[in-house]
Amino acid sequence: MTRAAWLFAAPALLGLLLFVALPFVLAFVLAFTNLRLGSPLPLEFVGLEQFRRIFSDPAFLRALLNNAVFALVVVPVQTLLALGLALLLNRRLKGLALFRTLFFMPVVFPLSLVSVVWVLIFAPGANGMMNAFLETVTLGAWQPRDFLHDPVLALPAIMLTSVWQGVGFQMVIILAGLQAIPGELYEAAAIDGASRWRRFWHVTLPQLRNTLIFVVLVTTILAFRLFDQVQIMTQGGPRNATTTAMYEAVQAAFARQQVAKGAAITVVLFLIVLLVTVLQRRLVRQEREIA
Amino acid sequence: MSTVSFKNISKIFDDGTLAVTAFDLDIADGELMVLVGPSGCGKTTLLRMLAGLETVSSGELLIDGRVVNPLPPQQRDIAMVFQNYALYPHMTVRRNLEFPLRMMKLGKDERRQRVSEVAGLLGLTALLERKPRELSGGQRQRVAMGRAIVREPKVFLMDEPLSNLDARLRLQIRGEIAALQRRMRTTTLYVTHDQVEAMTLGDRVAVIDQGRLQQVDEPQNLYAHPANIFVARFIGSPGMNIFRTELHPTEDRGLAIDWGRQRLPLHAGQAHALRKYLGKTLYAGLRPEAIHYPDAPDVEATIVVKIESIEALGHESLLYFGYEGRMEETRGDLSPDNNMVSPLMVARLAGTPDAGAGESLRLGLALKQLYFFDAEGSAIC
Repeated sequence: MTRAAWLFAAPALLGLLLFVALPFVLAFVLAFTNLRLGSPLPLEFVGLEQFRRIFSDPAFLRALLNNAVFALVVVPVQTLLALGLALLLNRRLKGLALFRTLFFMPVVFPLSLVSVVWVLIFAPGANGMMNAFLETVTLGAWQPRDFLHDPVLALPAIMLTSVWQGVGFQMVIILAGLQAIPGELYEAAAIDGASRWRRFWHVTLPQLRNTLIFVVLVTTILAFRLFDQVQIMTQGGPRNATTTAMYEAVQAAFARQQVAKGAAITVVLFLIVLLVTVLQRRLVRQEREIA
Repeated sequence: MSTVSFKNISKIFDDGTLAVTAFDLDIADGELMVLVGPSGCGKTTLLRMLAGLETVSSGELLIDGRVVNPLPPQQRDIAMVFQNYALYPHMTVRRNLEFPLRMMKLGKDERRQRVSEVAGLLGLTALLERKPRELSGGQRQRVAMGRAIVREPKVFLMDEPLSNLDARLRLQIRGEIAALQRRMRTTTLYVTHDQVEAMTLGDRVAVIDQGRLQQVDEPQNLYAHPANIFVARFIGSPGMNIFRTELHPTEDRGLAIDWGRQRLPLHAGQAHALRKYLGKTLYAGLRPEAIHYPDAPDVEATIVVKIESIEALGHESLLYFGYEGRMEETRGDLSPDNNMVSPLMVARLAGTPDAGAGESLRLGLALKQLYFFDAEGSAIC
């Protein structure tokens, strides 16, 4: 590379170094220390001590469990919903652009804004929108609940918010996948005697395979990074019912100044995300080998 | 064992385009019918209507005497070979061939047997476990054929199945399709824009232009007795030369026509049929094969032409020349016959003529082989 090329690349490289590489390396290094802001103790290398601590911390374990439950529910529900919406929108209809825009709009809103709106929707008491809705559809059988302070309902409430917010993005990706399937394949399948359902099963799904793998893995990764909704809607409560690994990391680092602990948690998160990514590459590579 | 009938079929697309107009055609059991015409003439639309991929705007479509207009494709018992083959990319060749059988809910043993039969027939046995992307164009084409014949449908539909192959392969697979169809005797509707393909494959050929059936007949009859100027110019390679002309009485009470400033005498039989067109617009046609070197045996008149270009093919040459009467006739841009007459005349000559572009050459005409068309372009004789 010439000097000019380096010069042109320099601003971007500098940014990458400063804001991606450096924090990444620092997090790794700090995770093995006892760094605590404002602490009089000297900075020491403590080995795996921070990891031992977080894995014996019931709040962190609960956070991991919450992340797992969240992923297990939200990933399939959101993916199926996105697939359904994409299938509905992948046809020639009047006002299609309007529907696509409507379903995509939540993606454009900042998550914090979305969360605030949903806090209002989940407002306690009979006048809360969700309570009133449930009361109407159950013909009065529903007793008003305080969703965000209910140990059982708080996490599902956050899930609902997340699905509502995230489904549009997946839908758009799946829609792009659907539109890349040649129409001739459907025609060939119809002529070969396949009903509508079988065409979906034998043409659409196999052709969408890579798209779906991508969507599922991105959603899984996002599920483990769940933070904004928790921070705004429940602050991890009630009694850690909605806390997440990311929320614990932020709490540790910025509320309790336990920077090393926060760093250790992010390292664990990084490893989980790495695992998920490796899994994805395995799956996709298998597909390529068969192909 | 099936017949197909198009009865007064029309197709108007949603945007108002009239694709097919009052189309009638009966295809006999076991017949290979070729639909041929320039691109956009409606032939593919006809095929897709028969397949059930397009709705019929008006008229009736019958397979085996049964109206199939309302049936979806999967209930019509037809098979189709697509131009781009439309193989299922995620399935092996075996699974592709099996697919229609699985949709018929045939048992595993029967599926296996039928697939291996068809694979043997088409030379696909060694490729059964491959995916379409690992196959060459010709192999893919065969898989598409195999997928069509494996289920033994009532009717085969082929939509320009050779257009994505190179010339040599096209020739080979064209022969294979013909042999296969003769052997299976399945009623077949074959769409192509290539008149050579149409002539060599079809039991009968239906020539279509602008959504209308122009003529349907056996290939030789299309060549020998074109019903109108369109068919005359479309069939044959190159097609017939058409020029506008006028009739003149001759001293011996016969007739002659204009060729530029020259007069060409007609035979008694031709003159008899044409007498009532004296003084009316008339088009005459002469196949490139009816233009020879001046010393050829059936030459009855000679002309001198200015050569525009020569395509030498070795054993023969195509010699293009301007029709000298043309310039003054079609001056003023849009005279009505602009799309009737040939922009350039062409002669098919043996070997390579001893002259080049821009030079003059004397050629002989076989006047017995003249065709005549009236002002609307319909054949007179």
